[in-house]
Amino acid sequence: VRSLVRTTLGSIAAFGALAASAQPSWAEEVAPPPPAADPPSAAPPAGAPEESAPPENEPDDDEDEVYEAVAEVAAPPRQATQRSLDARALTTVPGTAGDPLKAIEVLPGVGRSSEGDPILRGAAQHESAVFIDGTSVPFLYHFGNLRSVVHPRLVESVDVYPGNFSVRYGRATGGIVAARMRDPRRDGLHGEIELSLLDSSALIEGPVASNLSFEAAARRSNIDFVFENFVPDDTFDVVVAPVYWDYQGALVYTPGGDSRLRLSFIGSKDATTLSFGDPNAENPALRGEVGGSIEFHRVQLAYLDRYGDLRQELQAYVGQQHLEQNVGPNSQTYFDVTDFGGRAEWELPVCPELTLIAGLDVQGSAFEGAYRGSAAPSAEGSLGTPDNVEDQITVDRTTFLLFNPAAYVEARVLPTSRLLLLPGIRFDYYHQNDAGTVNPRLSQRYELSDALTLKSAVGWFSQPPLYYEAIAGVGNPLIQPYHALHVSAGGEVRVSDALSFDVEGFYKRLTSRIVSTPGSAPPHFVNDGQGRVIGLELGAKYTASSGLAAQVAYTLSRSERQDRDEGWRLFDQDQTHVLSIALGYPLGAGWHAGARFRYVTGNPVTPVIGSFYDAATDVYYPIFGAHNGERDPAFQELDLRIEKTFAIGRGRLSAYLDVQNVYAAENAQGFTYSYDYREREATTGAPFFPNLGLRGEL
Amino acid sequence: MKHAFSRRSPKPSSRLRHAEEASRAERHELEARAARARCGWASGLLAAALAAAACEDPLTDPALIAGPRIVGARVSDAADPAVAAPSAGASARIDWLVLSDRAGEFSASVAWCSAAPSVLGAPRCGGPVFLEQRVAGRFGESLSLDFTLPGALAPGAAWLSWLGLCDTGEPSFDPDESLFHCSDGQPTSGFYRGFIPEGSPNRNPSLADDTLLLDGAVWAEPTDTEGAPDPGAPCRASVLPELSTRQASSIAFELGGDDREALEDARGTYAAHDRESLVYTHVSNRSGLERAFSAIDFDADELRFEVPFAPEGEDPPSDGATLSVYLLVRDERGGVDWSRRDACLLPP
Repeated sequence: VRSLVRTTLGSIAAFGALAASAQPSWAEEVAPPPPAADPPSAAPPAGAPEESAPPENEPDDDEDEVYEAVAEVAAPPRQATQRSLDARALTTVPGTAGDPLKAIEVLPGVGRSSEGDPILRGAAQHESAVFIDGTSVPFLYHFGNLRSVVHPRLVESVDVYPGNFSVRYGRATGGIVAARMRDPRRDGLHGEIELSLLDSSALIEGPVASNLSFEAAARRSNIDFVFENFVPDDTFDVVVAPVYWDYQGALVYTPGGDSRLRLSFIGSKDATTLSFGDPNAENPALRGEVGGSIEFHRVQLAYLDRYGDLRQELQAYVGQQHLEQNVGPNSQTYFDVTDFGGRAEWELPVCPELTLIAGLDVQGSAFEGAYRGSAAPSAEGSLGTPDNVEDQITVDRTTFLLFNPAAYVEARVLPTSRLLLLPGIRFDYYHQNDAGTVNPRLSQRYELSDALTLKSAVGWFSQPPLYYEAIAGVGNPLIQPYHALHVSAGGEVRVSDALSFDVEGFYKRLTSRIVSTPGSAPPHFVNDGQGRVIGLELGAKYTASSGLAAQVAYTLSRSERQDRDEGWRLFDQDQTHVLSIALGYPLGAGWHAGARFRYVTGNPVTPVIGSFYDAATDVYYPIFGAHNGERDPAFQELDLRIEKTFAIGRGRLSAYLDVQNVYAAENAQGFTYSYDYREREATTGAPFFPNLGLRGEL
Repeated sequence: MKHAFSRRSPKPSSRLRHAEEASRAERHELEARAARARCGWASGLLAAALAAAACEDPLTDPALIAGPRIVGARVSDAADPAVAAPSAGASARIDWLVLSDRAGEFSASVAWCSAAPSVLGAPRCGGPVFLEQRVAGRFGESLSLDFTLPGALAPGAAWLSWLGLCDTGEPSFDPDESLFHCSDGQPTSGFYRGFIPEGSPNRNPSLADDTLLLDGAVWAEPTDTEGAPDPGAPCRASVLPELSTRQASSIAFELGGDDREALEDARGTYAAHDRESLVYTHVSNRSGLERAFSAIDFDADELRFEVPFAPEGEDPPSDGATLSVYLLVRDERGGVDWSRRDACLLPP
């Protein structure tokens, strides 16, 4: 129950679950629609077997697919560093259960995340932003972080900007992950059904008219079915098994020329209810029903056009969220949120050496909700203490508006044929905080030779408080945005078409971080924290003519924080060494195998050196040692995936086995304590888990 | 090792029910293994989707008194002992209940201070200690201490009463850290946080008009003319009700007068309760209680609960061993009361 409360409610219950919606919301490149016959992009990442030439007479995933849009012509860079994975790699990285947003952990600069959202260059998860089809969604992962809310077969590519990203993006001090959804196929009606232990999904796509096509996908979890039929009755005190579902779809209209209109929609819901007949063994305040539901629905319209040399991009979205949650009789919340936003961007080549880009970026959310429960801890750096029923806070029905408009200007300057300069500046206003920020940034790439490109960047990044951090009674209405200075430099070496390397060092300095006051006493949060991160990223990619694809990523870093006047400590998820090796190989006859190995320094943990007892509420408080003064043992895991594809008439049938944690490494992650904190046991990570699936395509 | 995603409350598996010949230690190990196997399998299948489901916790049983342990504190206004929240400047009494697996006296340090504002994490002193004492008490009996609150405390302000024991030596209280220290080892320490009432003061619940049943028969409170019995003291041929390690028993509680006070929650109206919930702690000096906590919530219509007691792992001497069960009730607002029941645990 303790882990549930931490995971699901994050102490401030729904606030935590909805926090993602307060993150930078609106962005994403929607590249102009290239002709359908454009060649696929080059430089496949590891695990991207589709880029290799399949042996004859074998089913070839790409042979009859005509994905219409996007990313097939590399757009000019808008930042020094961009790392990407394409569609096939995203769904075949072993150990991810085919989830595209988890696959990015094979890239340099991406830490190991056990809680879903990515850790980029030592930044906290809430400091980075993830966009799906140009929009940040209220929550990215279904219950338990097993699956992201997007159907993997609809993702065209995922780009990762670990730092120093373009002024196109804002409201984040960490990095950006941008997943781009693909356009529907136009070469006839196609469908796909996939069944696995986790969930079942269906996808259908095809043309409606000569210039109009559609795609739609839906997915539902199988966990409740597995629960009811295969789990012994006395194993869990669960009355309703967790259920999730999601859907995505799009209508794409291409009237001709460079015009393109895309109407897309996405939605998701998670619901679960647990019932505990008796109070929790560690904290009697936790009892009764624990659960709730969270859902969102969003519609988005994107329009691209070109007027002479001027390229125009317009996007707008509107959506709704609903959340309700309760943890026993003493913690309850609900929220109804209407989201809206949009972007307008214009790109004009002034001359061959200069292109100007200007844009408007608006994000908004209208909240209505109420909350009763524990106070909110810092989003990062809080120590786990028991919820105390005497410390509950209540926010009666309240409404507030998040309205964050921004404007930016960027230039693409080519002083010489080999030097690219990207100066930019971004202005943000945060209505909730009545504050504005100015973010100047500069990136450069210099092609020293055809094989070697040097790159560097420096920039100022700002991020608004999480919305609850500024609500009176829970947070501090006077809280202000905080900032980060990013500095990076490195090089990219292209040894051959098959082999390339990427090296980059980075340094970040965080100022005015938002931290809790002692005991979270009013005003609860203050801009009195700092941070510093330094690191080095190494990446190597190799693609052999045999189809073997390999990708090695290593990140060395140290990320530290300082809260108020306390000493420097390690960031909660500081990972000194992050090593990932991913391999993919077509075995022939429709077989494809993949492997991934990861070695990651254990996360910092704060030791418990004693405890004392609250006689009024019957809970124990831990006495902590040095904040993040110890570490978990190193994480190591080998994942394997094998897939066999059969060609059946016009269709294909694929069976796959994705085995997570092949040798069942325990991968201790923190400790579980006895009720009085006098005894403890290591808590193990994700177990050996074979996910068997079947996918039929037509 | 437990899995991160799953823990559950203890329930005997069928495998265990058929293992009656196993020793208690073996049973513990079997049960732990069975639980781990169940959880591991299910976790492997369902992984994080079952984040909230609970697998068995083989760590220390909170229902068993295995060493010196503070289990409760009750504050009563000197002018009206039923009042649990004395006003600023008022005289009051605090009764501490400290249990142990052994009989005897203990020495302790107590301290009072005003609390720093806090709504998260452990409370801390926010001002100087206004009263500090060395005291002596007996395990299993109330340690009663009188005090007077400072008159300057504002309504809603919190004050803290601290109690600390050391295995050896005298504990010292550090108000800056709000912690006790022992010269050797970790102290057994606790605090009671009281609030200066802003309206009608909270009142202590009372167990006096409630009923405890042992296997269906009324289980009377001991008269305690000689204090709490020594844990495990021989008891065959005493007047105590007898229990056998061979047979599971049932302890039932029935609420007499409804102590759930009506609430006017000044903190807000959302999800507010119209009256208190009562949370019960039940602990004993012998293992066998199925759980340590029960509750009669604000919306409960059934004003009773049962706690199975299965002392199958106990091995009392032929003269029997005195079993003491302590029941404490809390109203989640600082109101507390407790009571003790004794029985004689006999070998098969």
